[in-house]
Amino acid sequence: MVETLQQLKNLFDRLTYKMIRPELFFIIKKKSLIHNLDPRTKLIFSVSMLILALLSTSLTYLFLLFIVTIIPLFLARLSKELLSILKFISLFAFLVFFFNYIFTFNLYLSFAMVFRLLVIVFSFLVFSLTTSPDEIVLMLYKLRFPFSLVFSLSLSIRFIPTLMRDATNIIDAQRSRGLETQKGNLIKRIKNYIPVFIPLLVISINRAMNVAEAMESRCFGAVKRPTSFYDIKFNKLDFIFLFFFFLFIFFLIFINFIFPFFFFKI
Amino acid sequence: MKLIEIKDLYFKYPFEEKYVLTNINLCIDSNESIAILGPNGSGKTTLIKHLNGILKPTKGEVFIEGKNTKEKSVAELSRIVGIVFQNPDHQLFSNTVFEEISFALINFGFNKEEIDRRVKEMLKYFNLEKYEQSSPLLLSGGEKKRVALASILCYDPKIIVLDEPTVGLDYFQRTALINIIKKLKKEGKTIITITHDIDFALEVAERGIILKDGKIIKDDLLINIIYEEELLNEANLVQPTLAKLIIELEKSGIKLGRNITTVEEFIRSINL
Repeated sequence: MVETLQQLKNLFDRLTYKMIRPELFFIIKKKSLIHNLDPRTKLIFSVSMLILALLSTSLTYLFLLFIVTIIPLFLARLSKELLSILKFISLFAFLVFFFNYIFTFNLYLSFAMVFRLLVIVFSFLVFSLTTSPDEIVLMLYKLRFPFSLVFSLSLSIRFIPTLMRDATNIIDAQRSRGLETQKGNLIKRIKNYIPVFIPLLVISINRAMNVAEAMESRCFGAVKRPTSFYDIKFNKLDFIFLFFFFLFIFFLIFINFIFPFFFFKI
Repeated sequence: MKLIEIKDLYFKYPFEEKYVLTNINLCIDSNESIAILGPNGSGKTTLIKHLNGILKPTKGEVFIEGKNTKEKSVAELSRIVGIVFQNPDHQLFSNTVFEEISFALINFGFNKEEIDRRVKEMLKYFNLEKYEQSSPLLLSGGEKKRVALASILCYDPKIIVLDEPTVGLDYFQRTALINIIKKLKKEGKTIITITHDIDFALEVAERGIILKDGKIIKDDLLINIIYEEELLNEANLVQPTLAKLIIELEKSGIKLGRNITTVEEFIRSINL
């Protein structure tokens, strides 16, 4: 019993450790065709897949979408990561299946809903796992978002690891003064974290002020549309990718005309 | 029984490949004063975090007063080992300096009169009486450091560990800190200081441990270490001017002996 609990705790630690590692939310750097694509191309792909996934509840249709979504992930040489993510969302997938089945007693529909979940998650991952934060920021900037907004977004991404390091240091310092976070009932436990949150807040505000001053002293905000050192451009690869993707969409529309209700049969 | 005994300590952070500490063997007796020296990223802070069990060894064992740190909680070990971390901003959170210092005492279950007595004593000891009711966050850097130190010393741990205590202190605050540490030494505390400042180390410690890339490359009396120029260069440390002078004088044939640490001693030996 104790051993099982220990194992559970280890598993939980592993999961939370992974979840709070920002590099797993964001890009996994590799050299591949997909990584070289313009972020706008990938955004078009991800958003279109998301919309397509919501159009129908046919199992064949969603399965087809699923196959098309994972092709870019394989091209990006992320098959290993794909497996670990699949493991991670299998619980959610099971819940989706379970509740759909309970309420409809329709096996086809329940499976279709699982595939819809997978398509939504994976199409998002095609974008997020292959696009660096810098590229995302640059893309938003090119899409005419205000520079100050885009810049603060990029700063907040950049400061996540710093903040986590601070949090670890603070917890260590307070534990050295006898703080035990795992003691007492729920309210007590939340209160236990006050000595951690306050220094973290103070440090973050201080740092924000310092960063703001440093930026201003380097002429931030002098012009409305600053130039950027890196650039993103549509190249041949993007057109080829989009060509195949639109071909696929035309194929779907074509099938829908030739065999009406093929995709809408439940 | 040794006060601190570290046996074949290896440590790496979970899910990382590289060992931060490798093959650390260390014995520390009570009433010793030790300076841990070494370049940035050599594992100094990681090493001292093992002393009160914040980090547990990946391989090997750490014993504090004969107790294995793997079997004791951080709170239990902190009663014996008080660690003052580098940045006081990482621990100050209360409304008043009084509350800040009493935090550890409350956690360790002291009664009200005892807390009151100890905090008052600490405030006097560190010359912070006038700040008793002011916010610790609004103090100056040196005062914050003193509050952080007081909040550890108040529960009277046997071993006091100071992580880079001189960072951001001016000359007067530094001298004041040296006097405090000397006083604590006289009271029979074991003091472990992490520092880059070898002059400061000479003032407060006798034994020096040099860490590099997670290994102990030297464990000797500081008075011997300061004459080893190559070793100091390897560890990114600046040789004290006095040691340099004595070596240069030796080269030109004037032998003064190598047990001089202060300017006064140097002048006295010249007069002979």
